[in-house]
Amino acid sequence: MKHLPIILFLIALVLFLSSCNREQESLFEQPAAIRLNEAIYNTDSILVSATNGWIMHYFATNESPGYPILTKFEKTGEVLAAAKNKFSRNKYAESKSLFEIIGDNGPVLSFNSYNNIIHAFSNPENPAGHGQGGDYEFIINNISDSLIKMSGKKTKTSIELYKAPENINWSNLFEQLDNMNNKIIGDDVVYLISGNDTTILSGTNSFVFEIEESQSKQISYLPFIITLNGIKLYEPFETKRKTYVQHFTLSAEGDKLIAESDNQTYITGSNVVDFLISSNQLYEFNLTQTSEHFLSPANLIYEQLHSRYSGNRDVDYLAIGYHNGFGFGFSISTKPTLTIARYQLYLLKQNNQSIKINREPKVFDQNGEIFYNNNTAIEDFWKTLPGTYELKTTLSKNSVTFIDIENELRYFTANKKTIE
Amino acid sequence: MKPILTIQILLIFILFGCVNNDEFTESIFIDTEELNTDSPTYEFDIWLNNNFLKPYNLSFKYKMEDVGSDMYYNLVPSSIEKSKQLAQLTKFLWFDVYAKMVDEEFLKKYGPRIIHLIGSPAYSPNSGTMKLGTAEGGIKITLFNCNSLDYSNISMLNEYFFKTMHHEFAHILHQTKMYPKEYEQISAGDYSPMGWQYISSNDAARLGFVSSYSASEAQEDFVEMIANYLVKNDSDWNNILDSAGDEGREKITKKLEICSSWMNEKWGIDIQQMRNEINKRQLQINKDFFDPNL
Repeated sequence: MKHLPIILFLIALVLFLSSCNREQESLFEQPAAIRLNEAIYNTDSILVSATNGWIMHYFATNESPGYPILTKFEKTGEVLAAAKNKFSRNKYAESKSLFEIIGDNGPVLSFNSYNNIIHAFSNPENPAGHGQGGDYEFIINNISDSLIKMSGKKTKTSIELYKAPENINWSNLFEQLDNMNNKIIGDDVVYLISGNDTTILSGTNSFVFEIEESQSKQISYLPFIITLNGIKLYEPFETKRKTYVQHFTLSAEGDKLIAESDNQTYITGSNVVDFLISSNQLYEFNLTQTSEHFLSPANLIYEQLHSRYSGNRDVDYLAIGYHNGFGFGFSISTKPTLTIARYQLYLLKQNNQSIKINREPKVFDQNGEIFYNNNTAIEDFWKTLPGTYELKTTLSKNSVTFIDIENELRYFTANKKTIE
Repeated sequence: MKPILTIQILLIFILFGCVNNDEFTESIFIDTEELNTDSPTYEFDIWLNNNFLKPYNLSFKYKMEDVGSDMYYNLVPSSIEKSKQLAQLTKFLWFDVYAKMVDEEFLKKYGPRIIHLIGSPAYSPNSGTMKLGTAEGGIKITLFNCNSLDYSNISMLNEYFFKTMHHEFAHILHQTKMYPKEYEQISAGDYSPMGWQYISSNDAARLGFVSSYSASEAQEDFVEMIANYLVKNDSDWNNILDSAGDEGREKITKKLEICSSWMNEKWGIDIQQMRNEINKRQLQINKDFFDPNL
């Protein structure tokens, strides 16, 4: 016990010295408020520096489809936004409002006056109180001259801004996105191939892939957005090969989306031959992408019907595909009075790339018979169609080109028709 | 040194520290950042300064600040166009009325310090209701649903905005000088804080309420009485009385008498004259009313 004062003294000394050592140099040269002001200024400068604006990849929630929005920020505090989506009735639309970089725990991009394009996702209507559930204030997480990564202040949803290409006007840019959309969106079920592994992705047409886990049958959702090159997934997806994929580029043929970070991983559609044989889809002849072999008799049908009915009934379109209550065949639709005349054809799979079209002469429906008996061009067109064709299509299967395997200059193209 | 002395010395330092730092400015908002002359809203901002900030010490916030709103709700900002309209209407149908009917000091003293505009309604999906406005401690009034403003529809203007403004301001007034307790006895037992939204306006009138929301609680009943009476013209007011039946009419009339006396005695406001002035001004609202230069 007589050593107790010495022991206590030594303990006190250790505590005293260690407490002195607790002082450390500041990690930052500037105080937090100054650093925040600099971050706000820097963010504002980069936003307004993009002369053709930014392409915003907007996801209302982490389970919602992605929408491209063009935004141009001005030094005056104005922002111009443009979109072409269901909220703008699928027409190109612009809206101007105000924005501000505000200080929160870091710089926050706030769209603080109403903008028809941007606030369409956070407006609490339909259903009341919820709406699309999106944000209009975004925490800046990472910023460079070409890419700004943000997250929604309420939802934490990831939103990215990509610097828009300089030499293109906005409506043309949306046309490019539309073209890309048309090549990708159409066939609802596609396949993610990664090496030897295949994952079924359904829900393509709603821009949210649904993936069913094979054991638990639990469904997970993977939203995506159309980009100028292909698609971008909402977040990186880990493949069975332990690679992470997010950005996909559409192949030159338009039939595959290849992961930019892993070229062994791609998204492809079902076989087009099997699809066409089992499909109940109707395709309209695209006479601008059809060889003369089919174009001449097709045009003659237009002329003969016009002449026969003195312009009171004209051909609206010619189509090939499945017709309810009739089966596979080609058809003539008229306007302004809608009449559909059908003529039977048969499909026979040759291999995974090609298909044979046959016909049974004089098998038509009642309207088909009336038109057939009064217009010789119908027989000429009908008998031109049989042949063996290689099929070319895009991922969406919205357009199929039939190329005669014996003469590649003999071909016709047909585009998916949404309403018969 | 005794601890109490230590505390006393510390207090002296703290107090001196406080006194030395604060010099009060004319307005609590006067030190806000300078207006941006390049801003597309510069003219409007100047107008707000001249008509609200300087005379009334009031910040008219049309750029939405979500930290200033209730994060429970999903909301969107007001559009610039609707904000400009509502600012001019607020001045003409509220501030100018009090300046003329009472005096210019009244709203300087009792008016809110902040008016915050929100573009959308504040829906409560669980209860199926939506808020049109809130008043916070006599300081701040938040007006929702501004993007639906239609100046050609006076009934809608009143229902969504001006009734709300008078409603919220009446809260500020009665929080400053309490209304007579006898008011609460008139409909005691008929208030339904959780079920008012299921009471139709006709049923509410028969119970002696001028609106469904009046039936929620006595304070809301009191301010709804004042707000509805101020903004409704004779025809609309009589419609309420006609649908109230004898018993309801008697209650409403009694409540209005109390409100009228309270306004007169406590605030020197003749509610009838103020109503006439508001009604007269409402008829002057048309597309030419708004300043095209803002």
